[in-house]
Amino acid sequence: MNRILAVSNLKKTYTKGKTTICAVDEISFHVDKGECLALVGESGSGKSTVAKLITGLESLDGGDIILDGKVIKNPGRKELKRVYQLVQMVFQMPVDSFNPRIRLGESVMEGLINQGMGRQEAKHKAIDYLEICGLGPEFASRYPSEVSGGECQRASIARAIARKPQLLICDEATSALDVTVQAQIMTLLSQLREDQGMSQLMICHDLALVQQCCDRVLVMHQGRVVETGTPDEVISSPREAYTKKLIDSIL
Amino acid sequence: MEVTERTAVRIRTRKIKKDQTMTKFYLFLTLVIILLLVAALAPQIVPYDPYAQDLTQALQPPSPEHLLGTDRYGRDMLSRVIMGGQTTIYSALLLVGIITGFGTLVGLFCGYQGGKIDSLIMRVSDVFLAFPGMVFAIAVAGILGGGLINAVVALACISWPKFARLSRGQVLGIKNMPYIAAARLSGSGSIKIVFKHILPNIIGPILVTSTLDIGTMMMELAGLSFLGLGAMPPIAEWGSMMSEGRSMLQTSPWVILAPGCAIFISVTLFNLLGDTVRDVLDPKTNKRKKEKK
Repeated sequence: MNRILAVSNLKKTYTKGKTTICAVDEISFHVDKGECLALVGESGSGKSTVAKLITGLESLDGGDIILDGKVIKNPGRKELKRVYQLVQMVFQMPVDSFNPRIRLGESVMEGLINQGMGRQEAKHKAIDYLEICGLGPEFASRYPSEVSGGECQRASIARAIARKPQLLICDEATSALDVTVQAQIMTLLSQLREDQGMSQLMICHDLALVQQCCDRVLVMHQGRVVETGTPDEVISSPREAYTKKLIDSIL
Repeated sequence: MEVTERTAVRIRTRKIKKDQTMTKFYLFLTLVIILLLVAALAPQIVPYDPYAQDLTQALQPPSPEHLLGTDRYGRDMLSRVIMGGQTTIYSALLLVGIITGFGTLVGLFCGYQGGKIDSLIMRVSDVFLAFPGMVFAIAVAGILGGGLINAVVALACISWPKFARLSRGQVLGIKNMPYIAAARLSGSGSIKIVFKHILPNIIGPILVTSTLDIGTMMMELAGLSFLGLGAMPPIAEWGSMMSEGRSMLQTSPWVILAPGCAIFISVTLFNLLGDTVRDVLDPKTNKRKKEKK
């Protein structure tokens, strides 16, 4: 099996009062092992909802998610545990993704302790993972409010890779950071892909970043996939009008 | 130059304000601790047996021997006020502990779980909140019969919804924060998320409210005892002591003034402490502290 993730006809609707909004409308795609797939589109196109559906943070309204060969459909607590062994996520707002009252090291340890590791061992491992992400051991004892956004995002990546996921979902992981820090984070993510052989699903709206480091691009618009291809294909010769608009607005 | 000076002045004023808040907090905390110690050590420090009757000494005005005078059975008022402090203060603390704990747990559960159970419990709490508190407590205490424990139960019945509402609102505010999702992705179960990630982040306002509530609860407990629905004679309790002295207000005012002043002083102290706790835990003050860093 060469695919880590395959979704087919994924559907999610939200009902508010009498109006029903279709956030994700029958989309299908797959991520191969070791591949980096980018999901691009404007705000409200349903990218983040896809991430929440894959990680079980939102329930499905239809379709299938096949994770490492097994179908996952509105998973229970036990199944979710398996999902979180395979999939981890890096959030958009780095500081908000850490409990303000818990030190960074403790937050990284949490995932390891939940896997059954002892406290002492988890502590050492947490420091190791922070180091992989370019943070010294002193960061383990700092609170989220005491570090910069970029450092916090590195800690967030450390927390995610500490569970050794096969698929890392980055939900706008760089959009809250300034340009130089963005580049550093992207380099770190590419390095992790090479060193640990993990697949990545980048949810992003910055086509320039996508072109740099992703193998394939999916363009989403109003809950549907409108175009797919390699970054160069999509950016240099977009087929859909929406993609053209998206490229024009950025370049 | 001028701007730097102005900033320096501003930083200094802010520091002085913060220092003042902390000084006030420690002052009131010390006073409350003294009050609690006096109440805790009451049996050891009372000058006379608060329950020993001596009709020859009945209704003596304050004198060097009996600093607060004696009541109509000749019992020493100072000893009774000190002993009554134990009953009144500790039952108020017990009551606040019960309603804070129970209300917070209910609020945490409802806020985190949501759905039909949440709506149902919240409607029940609406019913409790719809009645005027004291009237409802009198009714409950009336049904349960007199006695201090029953008064505590009656007041607990009507007071928990406040804390349930408060903590539920706080939970709803942070339930959808990314760090809760991150904790879930780290494999933490609901109980761990609620007690490790949600509770520590909502405890501040709950603590402030419960500290402020100690005074109120003390008044309400004393009120029920005053009406004869709380502590039963001869137990020394400030509310029932005031009730006993009611008929002698004109002739022997010390009998009602002594427990009255005791209630006044301790309620004021707990309220002042509550206020300073709020100032110390105020999220805005915290934010300012962070900005300074």
